[in-house]
Amino acid sequence: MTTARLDALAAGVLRRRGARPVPATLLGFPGSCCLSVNDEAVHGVPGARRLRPGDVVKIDVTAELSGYVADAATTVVLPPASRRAVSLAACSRSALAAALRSARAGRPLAGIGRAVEAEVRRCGFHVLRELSGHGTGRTLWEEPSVPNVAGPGGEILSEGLVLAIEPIISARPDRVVLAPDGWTLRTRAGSLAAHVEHTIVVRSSRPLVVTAAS
Amino acid sequence: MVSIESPADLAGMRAVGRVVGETLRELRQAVHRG
Repeated sequence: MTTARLDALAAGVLRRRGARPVPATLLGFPGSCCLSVNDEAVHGVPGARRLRPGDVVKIDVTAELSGYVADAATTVVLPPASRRAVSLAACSRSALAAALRSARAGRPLAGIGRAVEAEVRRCGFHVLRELSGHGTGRTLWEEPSVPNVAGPGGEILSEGLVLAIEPIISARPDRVVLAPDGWTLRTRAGSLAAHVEHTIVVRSSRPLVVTAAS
Repeated sequence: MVSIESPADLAGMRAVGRVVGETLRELRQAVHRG
C-alpha cells in the first residue's frame, strides 16, 4: 500500500462522516492526513511511497465537524519489526498514558511535559524537544503549548480546557529538520521516530479522551 | 485557548473526537492489511 492510498482512505472516511480534514482545508497541506514513515517524525506528505515490512508509520488525523476540531495520532509498526522499533512505539504510548495521568484541573501544565520526559527516559529513548502538543477545539493550534519536556511553566490547568497531548520521540538523541517538501519534519541524524496523540478535555478527575475510539 | 463551557460544546467535541478516533482506527487496520 502507498501512503497516497492510505490518505485517500482517510479522505473517504472523513467525508462519509461529514467532517473536513483540517490540514488540507486550513493550511493547504497536500493530503487529508499526515503520514510519516521511519525517520519522518510528523507532517509527512502522502505520496507514492510504498509501505514495507518493518516500517514505523505515524498516522496523524485532524478533523473539523460542526465547528469543532480534534487531533489524534498513532504509530503502527509493520511486521516483521525490530525489537527496538516495537519498544519505541510502546514507549510513545506509555508516555502518553503518563501525560494523561498528569492532566488534571488544578495541576500545573508543566507536569505533563515532566511526566512525558520521565517516562521516555525510563524507556531509554529521547523526546524530540522542538515538537510539542497544543490547545485545540476550534482550530488546529491554539494556546497553550504543551511541551513534552519538563519546564518552568507555572500555568495551572483549568476544568474544561481542550488540549492535544502528543509525545513525539526518537530512538536516539536527535533534532528535527524540515524536509525539501516543505512540510515533513524528519530527524536530522535519521533516528526512528514515534508519535501518539489524543485530544482531551481537562477535568478534576481523569481527563475525557474524546479521540479514544482510536 | 478553548474551554468547554456548555453541554453543546462538550457534545461537539465528543462528536468530532469520535470521527477522528474512528478514522485512525480504520487507517491502522488498513495499514496492517497492506
